[in-house]
Amino acid sequence: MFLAIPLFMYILWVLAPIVQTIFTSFTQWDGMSPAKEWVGFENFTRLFNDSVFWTSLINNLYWLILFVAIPVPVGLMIAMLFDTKLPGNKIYKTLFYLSMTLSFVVIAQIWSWLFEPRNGALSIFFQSLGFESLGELQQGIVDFTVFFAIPLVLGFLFGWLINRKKEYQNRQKRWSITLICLAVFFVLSFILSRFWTPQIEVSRIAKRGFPWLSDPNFVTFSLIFAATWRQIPYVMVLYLAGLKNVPPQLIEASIVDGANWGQRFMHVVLPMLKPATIIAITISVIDSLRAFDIVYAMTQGGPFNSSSVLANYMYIESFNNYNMGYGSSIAVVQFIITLGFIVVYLGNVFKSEG
Amino acid sequence: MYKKKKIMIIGFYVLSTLIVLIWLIPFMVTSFTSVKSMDEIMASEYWFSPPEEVKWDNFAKAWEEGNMKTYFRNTFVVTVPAVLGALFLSTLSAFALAFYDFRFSKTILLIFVSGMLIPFQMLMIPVFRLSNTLNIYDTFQGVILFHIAFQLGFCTFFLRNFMTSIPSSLYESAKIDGAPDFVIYSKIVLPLTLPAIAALGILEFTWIWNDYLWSLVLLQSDEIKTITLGLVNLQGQYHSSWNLIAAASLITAAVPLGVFLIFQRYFIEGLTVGAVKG
Repeated sequence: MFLAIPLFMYILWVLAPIVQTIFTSFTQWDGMSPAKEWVGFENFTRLFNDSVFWTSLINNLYWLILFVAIPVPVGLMIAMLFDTKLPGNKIYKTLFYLSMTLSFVVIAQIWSWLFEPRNGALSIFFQSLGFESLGELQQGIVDFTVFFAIPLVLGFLFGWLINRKKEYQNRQKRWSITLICLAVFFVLSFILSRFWTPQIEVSRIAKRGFPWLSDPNFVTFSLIFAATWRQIPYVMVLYLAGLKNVPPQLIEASIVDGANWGQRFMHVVLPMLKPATIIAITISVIDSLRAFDIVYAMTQGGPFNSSSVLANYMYIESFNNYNMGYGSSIAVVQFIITLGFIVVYLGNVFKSEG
Repeated sequence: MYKKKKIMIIGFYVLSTLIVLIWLIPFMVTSFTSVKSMDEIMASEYWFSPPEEVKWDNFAKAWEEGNMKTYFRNTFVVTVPAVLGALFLSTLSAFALAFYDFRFSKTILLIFVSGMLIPFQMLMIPVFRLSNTLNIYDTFQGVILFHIAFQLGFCTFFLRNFMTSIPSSLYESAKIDGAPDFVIYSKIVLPLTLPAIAALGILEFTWIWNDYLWSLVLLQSDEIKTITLGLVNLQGQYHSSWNLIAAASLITAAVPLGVFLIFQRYFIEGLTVGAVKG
């Protein structure tokens, strides 16, 4: 009895539409004419031969990876920083949260100024670092990754692997092994850099100036970057709540046991934050898959569909080109991809309830 | 030990201040732009230099000429009933799902939860069609009703979780005393749920206020557009008046920012308890 009205509304506006969209995806329909023409899987075969669809799908993949890879660790780090009892931390948190309350349309507008090619904040910042153009910056990022970040990670990884096997108790010895590994990889990368430079394709406009939003190779990254500005505080909220659940006795016990800061973080805090991490990752993934507002408000998917994502392509096909059947099939693909993550999320939410 | 601690504390303040300052650069740029004259924006080399002369009339211009006042009012007209409606109806469904144990209660809850996570694109075309059929396309009611229906999923989930923490003995003893269900709902459960309703209301208010997609799909006439649509409109109309658009952006952001600053505790609580975002 209490359920009647809510459930009725929910079925009418949410559940029935899902079924309808799936049905429509097998038809050809302009949205106006009363009859939908049944075409079977034709929309889907057309989709798989559509280069814009693939661009969108790959961009969605970039969104997915970067939307987890950036906000989750950064959110965790900042949550760790602000999780103190020092006076004033509330003010810091409040200021940090502000970006989370904004509409994506406002964020799109604000960032379009930061992305201004000639004298926007980002262009000037990178110019002052010595980059003359976006192309140089892209090359710089690739060089940095290949010749610095990868050796660094590999060095630590190998050091850790060797130390783990031998189980040296001596702290100095452990460190010297890690340092030797790092040195070996840096020498290797230095030698490599003498013989080979990674060549990347830079679009013509990126060779001069900073076309953040008009360089087809870079525009998606610019959009993701702007969107993380809103996502990071959100992930941080989840982590701060998770940190509240870490019992202080556990931390104290580990200090008594002589664990250093790194060990404490790796073996005590991080395992306790596992539920928060799972939630943060699944939500970031789901959000990345339905990114729409910021793409549509900033670039509409352009230039030449290079920043298109599935959500945006679906909207343009359905409501600008009136290919509602085709649009529905894009939505269905998006839905199927999301479904897996929704199941993971629900599993986690309901596991705690039993 | 004492000295080390002191360094840590200073380090915390330096690092935090630095991070927050970097974080707020976008706000700063927008605020500066919104009070500059167009001549100054064009003349200055850096977009993020502080204004030489503060010009408040950009706000007045955006409000009057840019029609932000209409968009602003429209958004209230949509947001307030949508939030109230979603809250009221979801207290009903949450009550049913929290206190009655019937066959499909878990399934219904699951359906409510999963609905809020699906890509909006799955709903767009049918909802657009439905609004046309019901003759509520391009009306306030159309957007309001959709928001209510869609937000029911999250609200029900959120409130049910809260209501299950109310001891069921309370419900049972009232039942034995012969209180009808509706009285139990309104006199016992609802007052106890009030803090959760407040937190939820704050969240819902910001989400619906910030919505762009559904206004885009369901509204067409300029007179009834909501503020996010209005802002995009303005970008097209006053393409080269950056200062006006900056002022309009700040007007759009003002309400959620204000609500957040006043009710921060509820907002954060709501986010963590819900652990889900619309």
